[in-house]
Amino acid sequence: MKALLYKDFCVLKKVLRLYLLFFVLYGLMAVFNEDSGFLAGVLLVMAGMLPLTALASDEQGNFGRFGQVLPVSLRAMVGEKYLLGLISMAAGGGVSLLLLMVIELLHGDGFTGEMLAAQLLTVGVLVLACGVLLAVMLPLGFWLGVEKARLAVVGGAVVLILLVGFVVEQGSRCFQLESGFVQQHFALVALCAVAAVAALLAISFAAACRLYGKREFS
Amino acid sequence: MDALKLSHVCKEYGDFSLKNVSFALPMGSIMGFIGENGAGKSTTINAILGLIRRDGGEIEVLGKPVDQRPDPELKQQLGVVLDEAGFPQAMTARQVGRMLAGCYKNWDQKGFEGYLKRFSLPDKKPIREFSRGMKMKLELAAALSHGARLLILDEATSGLDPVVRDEIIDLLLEFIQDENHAVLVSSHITSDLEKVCDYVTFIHRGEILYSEEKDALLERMCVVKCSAQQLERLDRKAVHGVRRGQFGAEVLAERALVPADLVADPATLEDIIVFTARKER
Repeated sequence: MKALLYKDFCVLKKVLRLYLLFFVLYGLMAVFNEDSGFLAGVLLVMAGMLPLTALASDEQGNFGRFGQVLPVSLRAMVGEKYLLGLISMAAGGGVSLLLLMVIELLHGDGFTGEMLAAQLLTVGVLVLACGVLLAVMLPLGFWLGVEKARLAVVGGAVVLILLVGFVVEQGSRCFQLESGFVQQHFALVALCAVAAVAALLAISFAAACRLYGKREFS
Repeated sequence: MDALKLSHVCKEYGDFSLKNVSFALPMGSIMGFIGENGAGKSTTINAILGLIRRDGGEIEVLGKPVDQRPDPELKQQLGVVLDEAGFPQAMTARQVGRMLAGCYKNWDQKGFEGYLKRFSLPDKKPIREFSRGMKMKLELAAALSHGARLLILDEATSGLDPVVRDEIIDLLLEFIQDENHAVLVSSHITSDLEKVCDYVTFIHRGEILYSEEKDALLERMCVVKCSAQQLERLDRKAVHGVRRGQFGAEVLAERALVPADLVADPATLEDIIVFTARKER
């Protein structure tokens, strides 16, 4: 799997440079416009799409076929894309959190525990949403090919961006941080959400392995 | 132990099918897998490599039965060169070496670099800037750098110039010096195969017509130039293919059944493909 990760990072270097450029330019705009939520959301969608971009590159370059003759198991071939997704989600989440904190520090009331909790919550929800997107898109990409799965990608991205907008607009009010069940059992709710997405990803991985195993590479 | 053994392998597509493909590649030999375009060479190789699911039959690779796909342990011993290079275009040869070192237990980095030098392949240039010949040489360098025992080349020499093809033939002859190695090379450039193959398997419309020692096959067959009347006299059992011209006919025939008064020229592998593909009895 390390070898496949290395391959994907070599292939995605150009894309990652573009992402970095995008982040720097729009990050500066977001800092000056105090508009952090949308950028953080888009960043995470882009991070979530990285495994699909890698899969598309495999298909374009015939690596999908050649990869089958390498001494790599089917599970490793599929698992590597999920691992790439988790790495990019974690990196995207970290960068988004940093961006939100910088904007809050520059334009908000300074660094407080409540501020940090709100930012963590926003980024956490975005990362989990990204995980859901990955869980839906990767099996489709492995099964149908990225080209055919693109419609679902676009549809999923629209849903995710709408969710991002909802979360950003509602903020902590949506999850009733000041009172109520969620505040009292926040840790439990968060744990359940993480467990649900983890379970979804596990089911998605099993489905992707099964679907990819049925594909032919003539 | 045969390096490769296929028994009644079948695969059905809508407009084409492999029908009971059976042949065996002995260890220590090179087998040319020949046939016209669309005969089923690549489909057969795809079935061996598990790139497609076969509908029936058995395949054994290096003595081990293969279900639908060879397992990763078996693939460690396979060197494969496909008709289209599959390395990511953005990578360089050096990066490909690093990637493959992580895949193969017996990866020989020094050997790989040696092949890069021998083939004059740049190690820091992206593969997208390689010519077709360079890509094939890179694939071959990779296939030869992990202790493979069975080499499978699928139309690897198509579109390459004679110089490059000659280099590849030399490499195959070097590879086969070890009697624990074997090579299956599919091609429709039969002149290359005649130089290097010990065995020939000929596939036509999804069926194996011949699978035997190359020299024995070429000894058995001949091309007879005769008139229409002489053609009528020929034993039907002797005739494998006919090309009628304005003044007579050319016949691919069994040498042993051709009357002594007819002139029989040696047949080449190309003759066998052309006469069989354009069969007219």
